[in-house]
Amino acid sequence: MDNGEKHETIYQKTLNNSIGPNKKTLYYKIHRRVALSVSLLTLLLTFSTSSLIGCAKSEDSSKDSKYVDKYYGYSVYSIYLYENSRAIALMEKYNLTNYTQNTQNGIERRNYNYTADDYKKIKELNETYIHGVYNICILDNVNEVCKALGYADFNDFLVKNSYVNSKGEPSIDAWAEADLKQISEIMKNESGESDKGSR
Amino acid sequence: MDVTFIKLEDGRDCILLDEFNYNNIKYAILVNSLDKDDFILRKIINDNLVGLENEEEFQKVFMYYFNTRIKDI
Repeated sequence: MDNGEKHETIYQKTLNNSIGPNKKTLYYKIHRRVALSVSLLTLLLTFSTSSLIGCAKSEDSSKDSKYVDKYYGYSVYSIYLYENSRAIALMEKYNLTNYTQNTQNGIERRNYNYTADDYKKIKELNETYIHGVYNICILDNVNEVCKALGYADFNDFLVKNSYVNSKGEPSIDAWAEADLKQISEIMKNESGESDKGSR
Repeated sequence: MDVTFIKLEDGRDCILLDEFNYNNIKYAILVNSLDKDDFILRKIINDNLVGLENEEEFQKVFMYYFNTRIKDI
């Protein structure tokens, strides 16, 4: 089964799981400290999200055809969704789950109640997570994550990495392009590892 | 590691991936804890996870989730 067929199958399965008013269950959340190793469960969540992203890729790839060769065939939306889920999974791995839901510029954002000292405890934290945090959190959280990585703040991260406009000012647009390439590379490498694991 | 599990009506143990709002309705995305490619999208009504009306609703909600949980570039 090629990737397109696989994603179509996942889409159909999700559709069948989701529609029908006769499908009903109590929304009773059970919090468990799982016996699986942390790395195994994180892998499960990561690949779960990657599979769901694959559906989005096959659904909207025709609209993002100009990106097909640029980002290994991943759509911009799927890359952003992947990096958002990746950032959330990392926070949850370290039990950084205390947040409120705020609205900033008309968009829902998370407001995590942590400082740079809390984020410094995340061993895997590196700059590839910043854009995911930027997508899902308020700017204060992004500043704290950047401080944990040794920058004065978010603008300092942009400037020191040359994500600037023609006037030398911090530029989100300049950063977005580099991030898309970087994250699509990560997705491609992880997809290759999951294919090996399924043999 | 703490993970949120939900038991579906057919007995599947699922992991809660995300919750979000669309048109004043709250939705949840779950994945089967034993099958990483087995996803479920349900709406949350009166503390119940309920199936969507039809494929049209599913597609609107599905694409809304992917298209709007990101910042505009």
